Amino acid sequence: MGCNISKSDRGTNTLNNTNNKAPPRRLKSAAGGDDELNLSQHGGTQRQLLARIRDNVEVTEVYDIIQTIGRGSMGEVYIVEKKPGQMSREPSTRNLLNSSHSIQEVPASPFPSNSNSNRPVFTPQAPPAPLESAVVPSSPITRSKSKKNRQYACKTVNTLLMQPHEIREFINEVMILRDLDHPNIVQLYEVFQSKRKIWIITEVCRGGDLTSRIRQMNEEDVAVVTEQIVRAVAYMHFRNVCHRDIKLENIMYATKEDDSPIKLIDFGLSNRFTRGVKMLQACGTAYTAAPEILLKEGYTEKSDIWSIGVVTYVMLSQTYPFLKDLNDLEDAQKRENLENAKVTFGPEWERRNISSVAKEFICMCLKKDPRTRWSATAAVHFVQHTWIPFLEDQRKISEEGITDLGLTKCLSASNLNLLEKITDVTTASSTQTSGSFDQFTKPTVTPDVKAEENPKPIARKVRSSLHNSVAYARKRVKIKTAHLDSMSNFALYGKFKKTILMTMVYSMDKSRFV
Amino acid sequence: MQDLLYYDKYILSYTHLFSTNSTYTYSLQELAQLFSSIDINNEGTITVLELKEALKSMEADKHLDERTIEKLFKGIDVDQTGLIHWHDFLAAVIESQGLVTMDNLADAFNRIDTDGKGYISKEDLKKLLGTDYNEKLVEKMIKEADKKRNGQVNYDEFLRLMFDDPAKGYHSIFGLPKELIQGVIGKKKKKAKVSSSM
Repeated sequence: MGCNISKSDRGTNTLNNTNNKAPPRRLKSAAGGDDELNLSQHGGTQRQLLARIRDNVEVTEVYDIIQTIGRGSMGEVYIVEKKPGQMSREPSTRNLLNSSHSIQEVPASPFPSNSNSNRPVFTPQAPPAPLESAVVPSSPITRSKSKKNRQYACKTVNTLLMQPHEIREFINEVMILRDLDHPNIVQLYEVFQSKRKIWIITEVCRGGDLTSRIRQMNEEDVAVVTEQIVRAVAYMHFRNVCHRDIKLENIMYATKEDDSPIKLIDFGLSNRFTRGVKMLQACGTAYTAAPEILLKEGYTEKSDIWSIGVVTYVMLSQTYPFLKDLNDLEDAQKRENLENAKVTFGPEWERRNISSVAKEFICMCLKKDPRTRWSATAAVHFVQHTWIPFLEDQRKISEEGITDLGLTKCLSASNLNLLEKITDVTTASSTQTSGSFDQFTKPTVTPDVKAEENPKPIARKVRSSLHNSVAYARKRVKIKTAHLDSMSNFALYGKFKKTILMTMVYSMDKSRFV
Repeated sequence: MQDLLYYDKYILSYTHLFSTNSTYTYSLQELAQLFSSIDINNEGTITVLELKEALKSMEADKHLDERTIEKLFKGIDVDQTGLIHWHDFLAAVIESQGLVTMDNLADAFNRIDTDGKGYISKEDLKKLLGTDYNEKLVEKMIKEADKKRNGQVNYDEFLRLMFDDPAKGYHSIFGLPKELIQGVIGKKKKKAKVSSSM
């Protein structure tokens, strides 16, 4: 892979001591000059180039490696921090000092230089410090080090250890990722390529993957997470990208907060598809693989929806619908279930009181025939217009303390005895409503129960995660005048200013402002 | 050096005021939610129809007519694809969050000035634009900021472009009363000194 990338010999660096291990045979095979293997040959539009590709720059020149978080056969995953020193370089210092000197003579400045005069004490009414005097030192030369540095995730592969087709796959991931721009898809910042390595710098997700929180999830949490997954997938499918490896481990929480948004990661297996044309290459993970992949009859982007169905199933019940791992393929019964898409809802579902709406969602995602299986858009629609509103209603009813549904969620030590009382009421009322989920009638609480125990509805004590759903946000979040003002200003800016703002928001470490 | 500290302080105190006096915070999560809720058909992008719909439901005294919204949309849709992506949207509303800070701008400058020359050249912009590059566009872009007319943009000119909007003056960042700014800008150096020290 040492081909047309560069003549630079910066390659030997702290990270990099693998050149000795590299078999020379591959070096030769790559030396043919395969343009595809060189990232910078791919070019791109302005939007695509927001994720910058840099040749012959070692990542360690720009970033400090803080921590290794994963190690694979081809390379490692690190957490890196942007070097503060990156902002300052010798030539720029000289240049800026010179230029700002001459700028002071330009009369166009709206404020005169008063660096010698007394500095005004700041009040909102006071004029700002003059730009030019501020600018002399404020060029990127010095930066306060007290500020938290920007952190990113860095995935690296050693191209010397890879076959050309593997490199191509890795480049494929980069090219797909830089086309995707969505709040629920991990963002690509920069790509570095040197003789021996490729590094991709992405957003860092600190919250761990879905498996880390699966134990504490209730149905509301699952609905909110599912909505985000399906929205991200709908966006991808809309742009003709198929992820092909959706699983719990590839869905990350962006932050450690409880209400953290989720991000789809690992596009290593993703692929561009043409609508209606089947893909053949079998890939993915055993437990989320759709029957058509297993049967090798060719598959479409709909196999992503299958995987979403499986992921939702696992989140809700913490059991696997079909296979758990590859070994289960040997099990004839399990294999047959998968091939025929026989979904069963075991006792876990009863115990956890999972709604029939959730089951319906799963059944529609786990249809054997990809043509009758939901599209991503249909799935989002269902989550937003059926599932989440249903859970909202259910919560409302449980807040009024009448139904047995959702009561388990309100369990807390402080209101246990209250709960007993209410359980009495609900068992009484549920005999009338025959316990069906869909037959909610107006709550008929005896007023004295409410009055004597607790004036507040008990469910309020547990915050609903439904507030984080987009379906809910549509009712709550509205464009504000400040947003509109900002947008109107932006629309009138020149191309350069727009480009700068775009670059700025793109390269911002967004996790710091969440 | 001290000037720098002062300058940063101004921006900081300004953003501080901004975030306490109003309901806006630094929450990008909130912006992501706003973006997602405007995107009614869940395709992950905003179309002109969706923008119209969102502006209709806005609680405001003034309502924009269709043509204004279309113009607005075109202004935000920088690469003219007919879709506003997440980062287009973010760039357009970022000023309302007080996040156009020196720190973030320095980062953007360094990102555009790839090799640390200390200025942005036409070559840098060419790299930035990729296949969208054309010579006239780059000329125009440089002219936007190039006060010294030397064909490149240094950090000073860069900051001027960002903060020193002729239409709004410092009003946009410092929330100054407009009369004061116009007074300052209208006068010549010496007189302006007087007015600014008042």
